[in-house]
Amino acid sequence: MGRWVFAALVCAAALVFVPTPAAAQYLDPGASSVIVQIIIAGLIGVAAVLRLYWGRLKAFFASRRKPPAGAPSDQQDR
Amino acid sequence: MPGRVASSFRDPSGHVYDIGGRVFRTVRAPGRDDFEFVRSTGFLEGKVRSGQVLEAHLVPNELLGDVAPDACYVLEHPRLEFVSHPYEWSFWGLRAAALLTLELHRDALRHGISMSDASAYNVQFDGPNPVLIDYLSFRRYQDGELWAGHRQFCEQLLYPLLLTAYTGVPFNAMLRSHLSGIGASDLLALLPVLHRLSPRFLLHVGLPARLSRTRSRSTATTAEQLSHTKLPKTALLRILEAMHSWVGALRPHRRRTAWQTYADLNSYSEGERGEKARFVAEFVAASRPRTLWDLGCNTGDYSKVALEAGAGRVIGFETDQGALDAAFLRAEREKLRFLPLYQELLNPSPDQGWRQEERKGLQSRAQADAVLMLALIHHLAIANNVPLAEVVDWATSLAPAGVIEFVPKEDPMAAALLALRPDIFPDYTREAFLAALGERADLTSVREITGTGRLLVAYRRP
Repeated sequence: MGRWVFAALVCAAALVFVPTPAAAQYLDPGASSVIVQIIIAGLIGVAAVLRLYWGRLKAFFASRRKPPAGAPSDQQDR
Repeated sequence: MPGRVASSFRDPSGHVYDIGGRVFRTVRAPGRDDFEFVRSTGFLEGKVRSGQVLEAHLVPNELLGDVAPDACYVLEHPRLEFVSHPYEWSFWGLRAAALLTLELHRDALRHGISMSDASAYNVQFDGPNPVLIDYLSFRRYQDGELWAGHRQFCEQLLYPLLLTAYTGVPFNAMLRSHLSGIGASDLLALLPVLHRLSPRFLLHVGLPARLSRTRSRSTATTAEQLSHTKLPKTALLRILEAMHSWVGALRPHRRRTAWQTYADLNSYSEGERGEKARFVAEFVAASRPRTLWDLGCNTGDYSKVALEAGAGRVIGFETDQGALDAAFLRAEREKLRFLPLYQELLNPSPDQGWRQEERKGLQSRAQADAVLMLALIHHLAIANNVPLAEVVDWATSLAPAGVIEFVPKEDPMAAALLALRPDIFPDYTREAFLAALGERADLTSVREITGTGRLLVAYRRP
């Protein structure tokens, strides 16, 4: 889960335009390619967040349904 | 530039030189720090051992003399026996090159290294195995850097594969005329609507196509902002991994082609096929070619025979995509040093690119030690009207020795070519063939191998 939280945080950061010195490169990546990569990074971030909350939601319902460990079952009562 | 390989001019980090039959790569000042860093990680040594990157070792700068006075380092690569171009590769070859590029980039990132490009032209083949030849593609990873080669990867590798996978149209002709690759808009226009709807297609093809139409309206400010955009490493790795699984799942969309079942549908009997294989094996055993060209290699039956008889490597040429696919997969499966390439022999790859020197044509790369031209002569001389003597002249110009199979008009395969047209080939005879070949080379062995008069002739130029 920690991995996903980390991924969510760093990918969300990708949506922010941060000025950095451009790395030495001879190839023009093309504006469309840069935009595509930003969008993908954003989507990965959104997916990670959704996964995180989906996991929490499942855990929440699972904890409500499951009897606490060690509690006697209905069968044993009879 | 004297000695500099004509295609080596884009990256200022270094250049490739071909001097006295040896291949050198210089590292210039703009690439020095990156080269030293990459070297210090030991990453490339591991990739050379696994065969994914071409071997190179440092040599004294003086070896290049005055040719490259600006070199900080000089590397020497082993000479490639044959340089092939992406537009000559089979679908499976291009796919293998794409997967290699992605795997190297992914593995490099784990060593703090990135790749500055993703050119298909940086990949060459040893048999069916792709190998990256450009050491200077590897740079120190800068925190937050983008995948600089994304567009190049898409246009030179992904889009051609998608074209063939989704429409069945071979990418070769389009890639041959667009050396920088197929544009997103062109690909989009060619694909069925159904394929345009998947999310990854929308992202990597639909969106770039759309943006390329509106790019002219974007302001300089937007471009400036984009140039400073950061991409987290985890996101970059995920993009590479997702691309790898997409490319890995692609298959050519093809119906059965005319020639891929040739081995089962030809006019030979089992015994005659064996006789032909024996003849080829004897020729190869006697001439021991290091590189042999198999013209019209089909699925590679006789390329395999030649390799087993002692040929160092075989480069096959074939037009039929189904046969080409089968040949490449066979070479992979049976671990043959056999590279089948798409080549229309009536219109072979030309010298092209910058100054028409950047990508050499087939004739300029003809350095084979021997050629096989089996069951091809009637397709050139009858189906395509090339005068018989010219076919012989061309075949004997490619290598100093070879085997040519003459298919007489009486043979069912040649007769089929004449079934619907008048016979305008009075000079297409066994005697004329032998005379034309005899004028250009010594005939070292002549054998009739079928009841229909098919003739195998081994020759050597004086």
